[in-house]
Amino acid sequence: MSMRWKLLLMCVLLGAVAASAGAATRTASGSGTLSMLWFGNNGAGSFPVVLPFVYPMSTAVTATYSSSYDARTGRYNVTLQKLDEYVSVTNGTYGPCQISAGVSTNVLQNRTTSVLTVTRSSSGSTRNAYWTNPGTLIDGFTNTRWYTVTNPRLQTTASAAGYACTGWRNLTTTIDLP
Amino acid sequence: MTSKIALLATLLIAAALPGNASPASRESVDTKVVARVSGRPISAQAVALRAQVVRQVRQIELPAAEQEALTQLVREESLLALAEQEGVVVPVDTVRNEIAQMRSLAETAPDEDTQQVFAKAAEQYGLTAEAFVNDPRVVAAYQRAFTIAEMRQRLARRFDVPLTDDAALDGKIDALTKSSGIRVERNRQQ
Repeated sequence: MSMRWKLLLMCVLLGAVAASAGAATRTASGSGTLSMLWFGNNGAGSFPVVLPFVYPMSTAVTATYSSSYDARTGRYNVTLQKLDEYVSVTNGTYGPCQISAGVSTNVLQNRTTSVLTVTRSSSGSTRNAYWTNPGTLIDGFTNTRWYTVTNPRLQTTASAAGYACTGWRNLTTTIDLP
Repeated sequence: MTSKIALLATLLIAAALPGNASPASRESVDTKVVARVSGRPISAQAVALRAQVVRQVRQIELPAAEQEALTQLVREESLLALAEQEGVVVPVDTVRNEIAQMRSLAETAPDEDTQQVFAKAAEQYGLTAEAFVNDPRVVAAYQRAFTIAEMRQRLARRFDVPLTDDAALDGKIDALTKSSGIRVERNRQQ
C-alpha cells in the first residue's frame, strides 16, 4: 500500500472516530411513596374502617447510548440499549396489599414526542417487592434508527398498584442522552 | 392520575362511612350478610366497596369485579380463621409500631395526597389523625389486616410457594381452608 493510500485510510478512520459520540452508560433513579387504602373491619363489631397503607418505592434505569454523525445526510445514527431497570416497594413487615408493578420506557425524540414505548410488568406480594428486567433491548433503536436530533431522551415510568387496595403510584425517571 | 385516585379514595371512604356519626354508632350500619366463613359474616357493603377497588385496579366490569371481591374477602376471612386455629396473632405493640412507621412515612412524603392520607381517613370519623391511629377499633382493624398478611407469608413458606405467585398461593390457601374444616357459606340469593 502506497503512502498516499495509507494517509487516506488514516484520515477516514480519524474522521469516523471524531464523528462518533462513543458508547456511554447513563443512569437515572427516583424515589417516592406508594399510598394505598384498604377496607377492613375490626372483627367483633364489624366496625367498617378505611385503613391507609404507605410504603417506600424506588426505581432506577441504566442504559448505554452511542451515536455517530453522517455528514452526508446530516443525521445521527443512534444505538440505545436499556441494560437494567427496576422498581422496588418495601411492603412493610405486614401488608394486605399484594403489589403489582411494571416499568414502561419511552424514547422521546424531543422533550415531548415519544417515538417508541417498551413495557415490562410483573407482580408479587413479597415483603420487599423487587422487579427487574435486565438487558431489555430497545431493539427498534439499535443500529437501525437514524435521528435528526442529537439528544433524544429515554424516560422510564415505574408503576405500582395494590391488589385489593386502592391507589397506585407512578415514578418517572428521565435520562437526557448526550 | 394521583389526584384521580385520591378522589376515588375519598368517595370510597365516604361510601364506607355514611354520615357524620361517631365510630361506635356505625357498628350496626351494615347488616346484610352475603357469606359466612366459620360463622364470620361478610357484608354486602364490604363486597360492594372491594368491588370498586377491584374494578379500578384490574380494569374489569362490575359483575366480575363483585365476584372477585367476594372471593378475596372469603379468602381473607379464611386466613383469619386459620390464624385463629394456629394461634397466630400479630401483637398489638407491633401493630402500633407499623402504623406509626407508615404515618411517619406518609407525613414526610413529597406529595400532598400521601401527606394527608391519614388525616383524610380520620376526617371521615370526625377525628384527628392522632386519635384515629390510637382508636382501639382502628388498631384492631389493622391487626386483622396484618394477620392476613402474616398468614399468607407463613403459608407461602410452608407450601414452598413463592409469595409472588399469587395464583398458586391462593390455590393452596383454598385447599387448606377446605381440609381444615373451615366452613364457607355463600348466600345464593346475592
